[in-house]
Formats: sequence, C-alpha cells, structure tokens
Amino acid sequence: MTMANRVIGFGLLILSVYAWLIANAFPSSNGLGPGPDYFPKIAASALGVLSILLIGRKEKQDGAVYAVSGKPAVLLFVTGIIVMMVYVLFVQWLGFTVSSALVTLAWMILMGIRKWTTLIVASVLISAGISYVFEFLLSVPIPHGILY
Amino acid sequence: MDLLLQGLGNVFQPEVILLLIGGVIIGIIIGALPGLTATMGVALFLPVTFGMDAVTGVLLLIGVYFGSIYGGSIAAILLNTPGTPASAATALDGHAMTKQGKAGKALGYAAIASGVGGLISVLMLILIAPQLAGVALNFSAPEMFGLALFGLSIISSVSGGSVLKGLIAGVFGILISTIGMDPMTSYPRFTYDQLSLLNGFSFIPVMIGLFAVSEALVIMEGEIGGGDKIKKIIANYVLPKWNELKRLWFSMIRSGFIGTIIGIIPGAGADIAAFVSYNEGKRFLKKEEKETYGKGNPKGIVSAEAANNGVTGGAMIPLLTLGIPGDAVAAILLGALVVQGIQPGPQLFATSGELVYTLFAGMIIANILMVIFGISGIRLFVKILLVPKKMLAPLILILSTIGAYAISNNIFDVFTMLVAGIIGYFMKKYGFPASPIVLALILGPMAESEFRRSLVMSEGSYSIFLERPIALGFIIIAVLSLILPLVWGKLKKNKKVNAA
Amino acid sequence: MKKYKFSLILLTMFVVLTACGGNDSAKSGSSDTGKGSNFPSKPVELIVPYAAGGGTDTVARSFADMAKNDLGQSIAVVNMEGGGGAVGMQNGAKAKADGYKVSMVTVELLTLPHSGLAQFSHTDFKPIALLNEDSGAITVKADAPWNTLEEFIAATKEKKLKVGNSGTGAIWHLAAAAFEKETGAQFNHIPFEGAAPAVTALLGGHVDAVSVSPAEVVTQVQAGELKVLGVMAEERVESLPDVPTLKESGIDLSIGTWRGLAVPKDTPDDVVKILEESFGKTAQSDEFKEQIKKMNLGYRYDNGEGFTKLLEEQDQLFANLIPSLKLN
Repeated sequence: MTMANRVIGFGLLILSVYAWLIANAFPSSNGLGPGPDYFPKIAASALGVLSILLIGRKEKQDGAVYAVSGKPAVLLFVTGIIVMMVYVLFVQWLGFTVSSALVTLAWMILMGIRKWTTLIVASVLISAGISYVFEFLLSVPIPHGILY
Repeated sequence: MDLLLQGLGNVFQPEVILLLIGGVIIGIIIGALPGLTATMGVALFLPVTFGMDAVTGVLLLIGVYFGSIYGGSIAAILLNTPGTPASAATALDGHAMTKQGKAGKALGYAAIASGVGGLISVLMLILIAPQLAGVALNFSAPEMFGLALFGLSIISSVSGGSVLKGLIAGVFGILISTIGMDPMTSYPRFTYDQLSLLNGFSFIPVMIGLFAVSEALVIMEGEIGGGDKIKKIIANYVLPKWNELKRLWFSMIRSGFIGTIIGIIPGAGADIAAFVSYNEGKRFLKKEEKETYGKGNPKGIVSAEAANNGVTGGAMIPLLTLGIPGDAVAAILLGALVVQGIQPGPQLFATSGELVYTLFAGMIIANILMVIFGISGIRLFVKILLVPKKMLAPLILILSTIGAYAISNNIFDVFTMLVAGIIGYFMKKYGFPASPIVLALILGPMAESEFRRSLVMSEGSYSIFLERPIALGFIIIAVLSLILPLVWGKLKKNKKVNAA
Repeated sequence: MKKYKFSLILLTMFVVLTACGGNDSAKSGSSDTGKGSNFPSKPVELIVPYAAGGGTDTVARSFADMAKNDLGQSIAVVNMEGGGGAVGMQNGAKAKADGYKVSMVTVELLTLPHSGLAQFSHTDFKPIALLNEDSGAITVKADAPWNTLEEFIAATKEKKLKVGNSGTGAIWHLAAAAFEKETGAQFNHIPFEGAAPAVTALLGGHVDAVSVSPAEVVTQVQAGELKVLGVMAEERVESLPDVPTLKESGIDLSIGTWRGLAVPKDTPDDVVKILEESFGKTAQSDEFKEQIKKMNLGYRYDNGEGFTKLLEEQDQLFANLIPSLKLN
C-alpha cells in the first residue's frame, strides 16, 4: 500500500496544481468579500499539501488489497466493470428493463453461475420487479429506449 | 392537553389511520431503496394529497417522511449502502455489526432509536415550539457558516483508520463541490461549457456511487475471487435485549435533542444531524470504548438514527410557528399546506388550532407505527442477506442506476454515479473513507456561500464573525475539533518515544 | 425446493410474455409522429426549473393535477433546479419537440440571457399559456422606523440599507436595482438562495428589507411581523389592498415575475393547439383561479399569442434595463 500511496498522492498532487491554476483564472473579489476563486484555491492548496504528506506516508501493514488474483480472475473482474459502464451508457437507448436484465445476466455469468434456468429467471424477475416497483407503484418514470 | 386528546380522536378515524400506516410503510420502503430519498418520496406523494382533506394529506406525507428517514438505516446496516443520505453515518457501525452476525440487533437499535428521536422531537414541538422557534430566527449567514465549519471538522471522526486519508477525501470533496455556478455571483466554475455541470455534481448520485455501486463492485470482485465460504449466521435474526437497550438510553435522548435543534435550523437537515450526533456520540465515550466506535458499537447506530429522526419534529417547529421550513421535506410540507389554503405561521395556532393538534397526534402515532413496523420487519429485512451475493451485486447496481436517474430524470446523474462508483471502489481498496466526501459535498457549498454572504452583509468586515456569539462559538469548536486530536496524537507519540 | 424453483420459472415466463404483449401496444401508441389526433397518448412531463416545495413548483403541481382531467393523460412534474432556473429551462428548450415535454417558464427566461447567465432565448420556446403574474414589493419589519417609501429612501441615503433578494441576477435583485436607479436609494444587495430564506433573514433582523413579491410575505404581514411599504405594480394587489403602488408614490416602476407553460419551438402546430386549448381551459377554470388566490398569488391568464406578446415586450424592457444596472 505504500506504493499505492505514492501513486495516488502524486496523482492528487497533479490534480491540485491543475485545479489551482484553473481557479486562478476565476474573477477575484468584486468588492465585498472574496470572489469565486477563493474557496477552490484554498481547497486545491490544502489538497496539494495533504497529497505530499500522503506520498511520504509509509503503510504499516502491506497486506493484499484485492480479492482477485491471477490473470483469469482479474480479466473477469475488468470485464465486469466494462459491462457496467456499457450498461450505464446504453440504459437510455435500450431501455431500462431490458438493459438491467442483460447486465444482471452478464454479471451472474461472470461470477460463475452457469445454470441457464437460474440466469434467466433471476435476470427477468429482478429487472421486471424493480421496473414495476418504480414505474407503477411509485410513479417514477424510468428511461425507455428502443426496447422497453 | 384536551386539545391533544381531541387531536388523537381525529387521528383514530379508520381512513386516517390507514393512510398513516400506508404512508409509514411506503416511507420505509422508499427510504430503504438506495437512490430514493425522503425528500423525493414526499415530493412523489404530494400530488396525491391535493384531492384529500388537508390534515389527512399532510399526515400521509408525514408518515412517508418519518418512515423514509428510518428506512435508510435498513440498507445502510444490511448492505453498507445508505438508503438515504441521513443514514450515511449509520452504515459505519451498522454494517460492521452485520459482518459480526448481529444484523438483527443493529436493525432493532436503529428502529428504536429512530422512534425515540422522533418522539422527543414531537414532544419538544408540542411543548416548547414557540420558544424554540426563536432559535431559527437567530441563525443567519455567520451562524450557518459556523455550523458548516463545525460539520466539516467532523471529518476527522468519520475517517476510520487514517485521519490523513479522511482529510484528503474531505478536501477532495470540497474541491469537487466548487464545480458549478458560484453561489453568489453565478460565475461558472470548472464547468467546461457543459450545461449539466452548471449545478455541480448532484450530491445524491455521488453518494449512491460512492456507497452502493462501489459495494456492488466489491461484492462482484469477491465472488469472482472465490466467494465467501462463511455460512449465514443465524444470530443475525436475534433482536436486541432490554438490558442492552438500557445502556443506550442516554445516547438516544441526547441524539434526539441534537436532531431536534438541527432540524430547527433552516437549511440543516437529517444528514447533517446524523453526522454531528455521531460525532458527539464519540465524544461522550470512555477512553477504552473509543476504539470500538465505527467498528460495530451500538452507540454509533443509535446516535445517528435518533438524531436523523429527531430532525423530523424539529423541522416542523419553525414551519408551524413561523412558516419557515426547517429542511427540504418541511419545504414540501409547506407547499402541501399552502395548496390547501392553510398558511403556517404565527397565526396558525390561533386560526387552525384543531388542525395543529391533530397533526401533533398524528406525528406521535406515526413514530410509534414506524417502530412497530421496523421491529416486526426485522426478520423480513434480514432475509435479504439470504439473497445470493451473485444476484445481490447486480440488484444493487440496478437499484442505484434507477435511483440516480429518478432524482431529476437526468441521465447525467447516472453517469456521475458511475464515475463515483468506480472511484468509490478504489477508495475502499486503498483505505480512503467515503463519508468525508459526503460531508464535504453537503457542507462545502454551505460553508462557502454563507461565508461570502456574511461578508457581503458586513460590507467586507471579518469582525462579523467575532461579534456574533453563536457563530463564534461554532467556529471555535470547529477549530479545536480539528487541532486537538492532532496535538493529542503528537503528545502521545512523544510519550511513547520517551517511555521507550 | 423444486416447487419453489418451478413457480419462479413460471412467473418469469409470465412476466416476459406480458412484457412482449405490453411492449407492442406501447409501441403502437407512441408512434404517432405528427398525427395530432392521437396526442396525447402517454403521460406528459412538466419540467419545473426550481426546487420542490417552492412557489413555482407548487403552482406547477396543482396545475398538473387539475389539467390531467381535460388533457386525458397524467402530467408528471420533474424538478430540475439550478442556475436560478437556467438548468431546467435549458433542458426544456432542447427537449424533444413532440409535445410530451412541457416546461414551466418564469421571468428568468428573459433575465438570465441578458445577464449572460444562460444561453437560451425566449425564441427557443413556443408559449402555450401564461398562468400568473406577481409584482415586487418593498417589505420591512413591522417595527422598523420607516412607514413610507420616502422615509425608507431617505434613510438609505444616510447609510446603505441591506436588502435581501432571491439570488444575484434573479428578478427580485433586478427589481431592487431598478428601484435604486429610479429613486437614488443606496442598497447593499444580499443574495439568498430563493425568496424564502431572504424573508427569514428579514424576520430575524439580519437584513433591513426585502424586494420579493407580496405572496412571499403576506402571511407575516397578516401576523403583524412585517409591513409592506409599496408594491411595484400598475395597480394595488388584492392581497394587500392598503398598500400603495410605487406609481402612487411618484416612482415610475412596475416590475415583477410571471409563470407560464411552454414547449420547444419546433413542436408541431397541431400538438401545440391541443395543449393550448386544454391548458387554457384549466387555467381559466374557477378551480385554478381559486387555487391561485388561496396561495396569495396574482392571477393572470393569457393564451399562446398573448403570452408571446408579453415575452417580446418584457424582453425589450430587460434588454435595456439589465446593462444599465451594471450588476456584477
């Protein structure tokens, strides 16, 4: 975790410098009290200082961070994340219910369920159930696309 | 007193009681679903009340309000994903208890604490509302700034293991909170010409992403990595015992008061109350106990839940006595009353006394119903732990997505949730607490706008903070809260070095 | 266990079949491209650019509740607050022009673009119905030492008084600035996030006056906590019959807010006509008039044409006024 601290700290440091520079372009005080640049600059500076402290921080226990190890598992997990991103991007076009059923299906497969009865039943019931509760019971509109 | 009895009589009509029951149950469901908040729930049912008689309608909304503030704790405890922002603090000790196999007790504590907090606030509303209303009027920009600063200083308490990482999360949150139109001059900051960013990142999708989506990712990762071979512990069904509750009385009552007072302050709601009270809970612990806070100490759950329900009655105090809503839901209740032609304010007690006492009676009953349903539902709620994790993960993801969308029918909120989810996942992996970001997103904008507003009011003079006792008080406590732990820590280190 | 699984599978098949069946009917219902005769065939969305519970939101929700009877479909209110109304109205302007996305617009539709705070213009919309109009007013605490506008203005010349408004660039800020210009008064403008917090601040004595509409203060006036020195309207307002207009005191200023319904400018004419007729009926109904009165708001109805005229007139007004106020 010490290495991770350094990487994250460094990344945050860059972020804080970037934020400070952009904030510097905001108008300064227009008479009464500080302007729009005040708070962002303070926050960016504080973040900068703290990230430097983080870079220098040594973690006492350097245990395993991830539960997945080994190429196949990591690949599955990354696929899971990509599937999630695709889901969120497509939920508008494809429609909520269908997309949700698909993502449930995909995730369950990635997590190891192979029985197609379980897969289909769970995906359909979960997405249909949630759609029903929101759209009809609570009158909260859900995104509808080409499919439902 | 007879007015109250009369009010009770009005409430115990079949129609009213049915609506109260329905409202509380629906409220608990709405609160439990991550993504739907109390404010949204009440706004959803507002149109339903237009056709009803005024009191019945408002009581329905009150049922939904109370139920949802409590309901958030269910998801927070069982799934580590707060159902509403008010339960973000509950998740800390609540979910820890679930992992220890004590979910039933945690849920029980939450339900009872919510009821106690709610009843305390209703009691204060009935007995000393007009006197307390004065508190609401004394709060203006400098005091709100002090409160916000105080709230931000709590970050160190909810940082869990590493205060440094907590502070980083908090400051990062403050930086993010400045995205959008500047509150005083509307100057667009960090918006890169994107319309959706004009209002900054909507804080609820961020919260849903940081807590719920990241949890879904953690579960998915865990299942791919081999899955938990731990069997479901039957102890999860056990309810709290009487002597356990006795030890918690003081925390519950204190937290109820804190919640009521914060509810009275216009603009400060259940989320702030829960965190402040959680923090105060830690302060009142003996040294040995302090270590267990955040790892499954019932006092943590109880402090947060009693306070967030305490806000419900507190927010009604300025609403009914002055016509000023104490929080976002009270603002909707104000709308509901106005639409019915009832103007809350100084004359309300004089012109519609019976209505007001019926409301009081209804609020008492609603709190009691909430506890009843909460406790009797524990066996049912715990069953969700039986859902195979492989199905739970996508379920949480889907609920979060629709929840984020439902806020403003805006797909951008869902994108926000997605990004927050991925960031939240990595934060969990590398030991960064998520609560400070939530605190920063709520309090950062408040701190900035109130600070600048104070300076406009004082025409640029910083002495305004020194001249106003309440504001000064909060600021001093905030600064001390931040500095003292650091100083203490340094002193302890020196002692250790000297002793070695 | 087997029975349990079996029934789950049956349930799933049932759901899928219903979904397919339901989907077909939903599809055929929504494929009325340009066919005005089918409109509306599904619920309509009403975008409110302000937070739930506020004045605009409550008007929208009660109107939506009443209008659904005549329109034949329910109207779902969606709050899109932010930017003083910019976010919601921008969304409304760019929404799908099929008649299912109606926006509630307010005077900020005109003021925000001229203040450089929004990119849209009123020409991005087709106005359907004007629902209400409220003027500004100068309100102070009941025990304040000034009883007339003259006394108030004189006091500001000795020391700047703090006047609360509903946000920088929002209508009540503009009203106060316009008042300054007309009378030579000197204000310290304190922006709040909406009119309600400004009134709260006045009650607590943290500001000296507010420039918001009578509707926001009338309850407190009736309770004897606040008093209104003058209203910025052409005629005295119904809820405050004893309060003189600015004109009566020799100040030529009449400025205020209004609320109305509009759709994106490319919405087909036949759809617009249906909405205009139906909404017009509801807006002129006794029920709605009663509702507006109950909420202490000012009633004013106009149809699409009249509303458009109002927009054009006021747009000119603000185009001249805002740059001259030198707000920053």
